[in-house]
Amino acid sequence: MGRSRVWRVLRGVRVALAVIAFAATTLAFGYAADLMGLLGQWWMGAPLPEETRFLAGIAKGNLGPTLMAAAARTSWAALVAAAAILALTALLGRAYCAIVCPLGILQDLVGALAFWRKNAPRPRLFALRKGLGVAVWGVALVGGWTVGLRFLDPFTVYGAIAAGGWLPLLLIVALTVWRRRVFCNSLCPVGALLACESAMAPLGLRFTDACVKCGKCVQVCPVGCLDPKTATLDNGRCVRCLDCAAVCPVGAITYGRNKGFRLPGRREALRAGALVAGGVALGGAARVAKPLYPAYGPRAAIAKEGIYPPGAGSRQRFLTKCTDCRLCVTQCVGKVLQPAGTFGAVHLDFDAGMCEFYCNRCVEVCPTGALLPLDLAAKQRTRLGIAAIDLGICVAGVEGYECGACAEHCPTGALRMKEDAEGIRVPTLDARLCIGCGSCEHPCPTRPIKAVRVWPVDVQTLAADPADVFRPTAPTPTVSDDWLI
Amino acid sequence: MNRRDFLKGGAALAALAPAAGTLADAPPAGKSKVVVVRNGEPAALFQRGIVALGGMTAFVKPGQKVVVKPNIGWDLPPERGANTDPGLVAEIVRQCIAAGAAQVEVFDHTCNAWAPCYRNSGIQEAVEKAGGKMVRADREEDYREVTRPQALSMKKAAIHRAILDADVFINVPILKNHGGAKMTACLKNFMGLVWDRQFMHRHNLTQCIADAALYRKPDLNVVDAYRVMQTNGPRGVSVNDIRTLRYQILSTDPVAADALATKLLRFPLDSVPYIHLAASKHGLGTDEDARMEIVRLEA
Repeated sequence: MGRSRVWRVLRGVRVALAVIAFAATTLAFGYAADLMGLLGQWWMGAPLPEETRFLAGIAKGNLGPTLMAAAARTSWAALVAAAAILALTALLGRAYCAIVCPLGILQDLVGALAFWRKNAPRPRLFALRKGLGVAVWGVALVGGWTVGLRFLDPFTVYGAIAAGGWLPLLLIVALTVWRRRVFCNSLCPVGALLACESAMAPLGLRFTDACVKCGKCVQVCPVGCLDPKTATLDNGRCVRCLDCAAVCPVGAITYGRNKGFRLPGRREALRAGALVAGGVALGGAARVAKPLYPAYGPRAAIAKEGIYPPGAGSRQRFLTKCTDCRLCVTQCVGKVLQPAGTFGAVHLDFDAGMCEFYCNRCVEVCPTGALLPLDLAAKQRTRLGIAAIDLGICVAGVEGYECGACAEHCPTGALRMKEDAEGIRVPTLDARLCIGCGSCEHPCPTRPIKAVRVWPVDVQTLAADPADVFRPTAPTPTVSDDWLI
Repeated sequence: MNRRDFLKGGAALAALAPAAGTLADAPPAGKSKVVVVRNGEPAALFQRGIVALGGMTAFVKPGQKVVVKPNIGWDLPPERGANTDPGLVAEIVRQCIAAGAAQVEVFDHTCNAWAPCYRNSGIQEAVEKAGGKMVRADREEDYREVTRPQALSMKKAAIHRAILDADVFINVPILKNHGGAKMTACLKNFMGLVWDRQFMHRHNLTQCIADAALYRKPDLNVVDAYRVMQTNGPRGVSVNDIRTLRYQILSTDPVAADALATKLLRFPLDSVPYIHLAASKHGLGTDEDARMEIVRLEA
């Protein structure tokens, strides 16, 4: 009995940690800032200082994005985080799936609500996991292409849900109601990776001889990893939710030597080797095919949605690196970043907003390495696109009314009003300075087509430094007795 | 007729030009008092200048609701001279409260995202310390539609409720060069009261700026000309755009204050056409030196 109480306490700790991590992850998707604004309005009539950015750092503790970042740009921080998660998994099993993974916790929540149905996943569904996992990671790590993670990485899927995606939410709810955490052991590439490790780890959960085969553990297990009839517990599938140990009336589940911890047999080793070889081969094929993707991708989408966030590098790089987890989209101060859609990429929409000059939050929060690190000064010179002015529809060009909305907003001085032959001041572009931030296109008042539009560039390059282009104006007159007025 | 047509016909009209002056509406009787203060920090300039206008108690009565409208358009620090000096805004808030104001609200319809503008301009912190209240202006529901039939282009506009609900309106622009409007000070600052700025850009900006001033008469105008953005305005590219003149202009007449402000930028008065439009078409003030009583003070 005493043993069960210890497990109940540990399970309580697991639930508490999971709730904290889940809340923090969810708040990181823009809700924290909204909440601070609301609370501030309520308490003191003004928004509270928005110091919630650090929450987004939790994304960098998720294994999918972290491994991608380690591969995408050899990020040491990401390597350390990934190594820490893998090391802890060797000791504790897949506790990560129950405590850190927001999609896993979401499934537990839905499972807790779906009280009328408590079916665990069927073992035969698990066959899918290995092949899918090998394919996704082979393409991601060898091929350098996130296409599989984009639809299956649990952090990315959760991001789509947190950013307001109904379709992924419905899918996850349907899967959970059907077979609880079936996603985690049949579809999830992160789960597949951790399962391999956890199954082979020296320590794990197992039944003791005290088991009376009452079957209560089977009823609560969300992954269907245990069978009291044969006294087997698959540590590869187990996510360490501890529900079984907490519910066991005789304390028959214990933590100790993992029965699966042994050298693989010849047949197993061959099968594993073949799987890995298949993944590597698929990854190699993806690497060869990768450069074709942007060209093959829908041209109309590229023309319309072809402006990517700072640090994307190039179209080709970004389209294959970004998983569309939407952390940057929900954190965007200028509200200009838009999610990818099914086959596109995260992009800037200047009808919605403009890229704020003194902000590089997307770069700061990106957990997958799709956005290369840029300090603010470098970001302020990174050319995302290039503006072009159509004086044929411009207010100043057509009607001769000096408008200047574009020049007014331009942060680099690239777009300025200059007199034309008739003495009307019309917008004029110094392309050297243009960074394609959309500060001109967003406020342009002409409809339906804006007179100033930012056009995509294939590769992000560095624009000229305004400090080199603009010289100090006339020196300040020294204080004299002459009044200027 | 738009300006391009006007210029095309300009040569023909040139002969008639000397007669044009006599066509202007008769100016209101009396002179506009304008106080010009110089050589001090922005808050000190205001302390000196407001005394010459009778002190804050001449403008704010106990229990009144005051709205202070600085320029907070850009996510830039004070030294870039893109937003009104936070020390000046705070001093005005302090004096309003000292004069017995029931509340002092401060807002601007910003160009960059509002939160970083309020924060990085230093105005939010300064105003809150001084006892004023920062009000958001980024949501359409905070604006109410108002009509002005006498306007020539913008006959209706959605105006921020803080302006419509206030007893006293203190207009506190910063003087800058402006890409579209040539210069921004008192009259151009009214664009920050209006929800749909794109309408103004689309429908003859110059006339719309003159029209905007019809929507609420300011009780006091304070032009911050401590740091003056001479080029690349209204946002500016670097501190190289700034000349530190250490001036301030105070007046109840926004047109007179703007007319004098052109001299600090060394722009000819007629290069900023909305000033004359506001004077001649709408009678919102005077742009003639002869109709101003200018008081010059050292801080």
